[in-house]
Amino acid sequence: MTAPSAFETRLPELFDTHPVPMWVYDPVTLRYLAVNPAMVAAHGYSEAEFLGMTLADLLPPEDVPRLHAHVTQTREKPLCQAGRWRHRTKHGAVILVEATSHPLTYAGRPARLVMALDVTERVRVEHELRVHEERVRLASRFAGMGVWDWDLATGRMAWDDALCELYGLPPGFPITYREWADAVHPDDLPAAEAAVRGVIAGGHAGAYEFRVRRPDGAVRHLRSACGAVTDAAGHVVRVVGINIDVTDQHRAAEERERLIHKLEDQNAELERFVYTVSHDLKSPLITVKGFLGHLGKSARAGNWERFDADLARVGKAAEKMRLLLDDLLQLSRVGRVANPPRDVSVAEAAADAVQLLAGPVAARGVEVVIEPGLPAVHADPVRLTEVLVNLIGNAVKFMGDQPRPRVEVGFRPADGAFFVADNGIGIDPAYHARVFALFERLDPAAEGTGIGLAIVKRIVEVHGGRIWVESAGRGVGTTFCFTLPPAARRGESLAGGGGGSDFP
Amino acid sequence: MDATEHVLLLVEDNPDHAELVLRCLEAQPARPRVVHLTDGEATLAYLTHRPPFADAESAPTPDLVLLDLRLPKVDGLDVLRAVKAAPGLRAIPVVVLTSSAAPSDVTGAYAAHANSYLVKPLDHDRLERMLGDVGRYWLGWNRSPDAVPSTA
Repeated sequence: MTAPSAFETRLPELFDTHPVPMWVYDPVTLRYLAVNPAMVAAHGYSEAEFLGMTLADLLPPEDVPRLHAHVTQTREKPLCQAGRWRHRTKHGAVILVEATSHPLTYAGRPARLVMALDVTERVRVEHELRVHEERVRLASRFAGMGVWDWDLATGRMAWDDALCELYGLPPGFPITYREWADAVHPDDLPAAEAAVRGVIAGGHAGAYEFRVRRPDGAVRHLRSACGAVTDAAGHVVRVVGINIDVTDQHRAAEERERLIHKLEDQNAELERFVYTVSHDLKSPLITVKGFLGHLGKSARAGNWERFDADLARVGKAAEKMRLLLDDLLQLSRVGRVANPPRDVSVAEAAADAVQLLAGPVAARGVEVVIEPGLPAVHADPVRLTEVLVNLIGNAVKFMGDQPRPRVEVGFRPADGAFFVADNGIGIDPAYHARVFALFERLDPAAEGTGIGLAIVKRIVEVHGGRIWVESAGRGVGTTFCFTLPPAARRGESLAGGGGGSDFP
Repeated sequence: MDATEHVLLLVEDNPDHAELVLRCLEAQPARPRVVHLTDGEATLAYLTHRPPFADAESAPTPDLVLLDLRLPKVDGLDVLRAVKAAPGLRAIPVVVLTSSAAPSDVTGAYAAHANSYLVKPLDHDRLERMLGDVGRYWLGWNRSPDAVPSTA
């Protein structure tokens, strides 16, 4: 190790003319031994004043202990970084300096030469940049926005962490145009690429939307806004832009569309309903008014036989109107919640229904089987019974000449459907879609208004379920299937209920 | 009006309404021969001379069809479409006679080439007048092409 050089032989001229503030101090007393003009200019103290001061005099009092520690540590060291220090100028301003210190001898005694760059401005700018960068980063994150910068010359794309997050990629994931294009939904890629090409060709800003598929399979809607950056010659060299996640807005718009369609459907259904009702109420009224006209004629002509027959027609038509009005009132009540839904046993409801149908069931000698272990459902118990009364009642009504009439109430775990199956006359597949329509009767001779299955369908749908009919045709029986929401508490099925756990 | 007896096919599933229409037609001076069917399936079988309507003598091709819309088995509109799609049948005037005043039914009937759409009036007198007019117009004034095979 070479001995420190002597200040006097090597440095005086450089020291005096150098623009960076410098000083030489005594590491024992901390006294200034020499200061250069730049030091004088930077701090406002004269050379004479400095020579009467120690290093501690320039520091804020709270930094003095650090100074002592530092000087002790570096006393024997060669050239070293001395770190950043706050200096108070003579005028009270605080500047920040970055110091390097270097051992030498001064007047034959060990000393240290210090160079101190004023970094006040640089640190202030750095701080502002950091604050600005953080502000943009936070705002981007809060806005669900990611930033990208595409260098056309190198093909490199710089993505910020927020953008990587939008695409479901780890922060700092290396991205090229290819990776971006692969992430974009194939249906949206042509338009998105055309938009980017348009921005490059026109050198202007553009906005467009597309969907991306994340590695985890999730699809997000992104809105992109970007602009072209040109060099001095006007050539586009970079494209810089942002992506904002607009998935929620898209979902909301889709939901709005769905509701509009639903309302339109409901309006159309209501209109059909009103016309159907008016048609079917008018029908018996035409009979009543028509035969009333004939009653007078028959009476005047003394044709009492026809009078009685026509009177019977009028009476039947009036009764038909009463039934229609009753059923319509019942139908109108279905949509309203009569009893709040609760966990209810389908087997019990089916037993109640059979009890209510005891008359017709006995009259026709129908065997009704309720499959054991039916799962429980979450439904309005009164409405559930109504559904089963209608379905079992229909099965009993349309038995035809079946010698061993049988109705089975059961559950199919395969499609989660309850069913009411009979071995009666069956329904031709051509009419399966029509059976649930209001006032639709496949057999005009059968009693009833044609509202029963419309009520059943409405009840099931109000509960969020589905109903359909299965029948291979006439003579092979009919199976009505329906779904209802499962009981809230699982395993609520009847004793031994094996099907309960299979309920979807 | 010539002496040939006109054949009117009444398709009506409501027996009371059918009876009212029949009485109105009977009251008319030129009573047509009326064939009454109650569902769409039978109507199509009749018009295409399928069993049990294969005999042209007992099941003559009608000069006019009075067609209700809500019919069991095959709907009135489907009957109408089938008739108007069949080259040998499409010239037969089909007058829809229904109690439905729904715009969708009117539009649907004309889209299926109905020749006329009539809503059954509530009053018996008006029904009688309406059917008198229908008979006078479609079986009296109206000319159908000779290509339509007649009973003669």
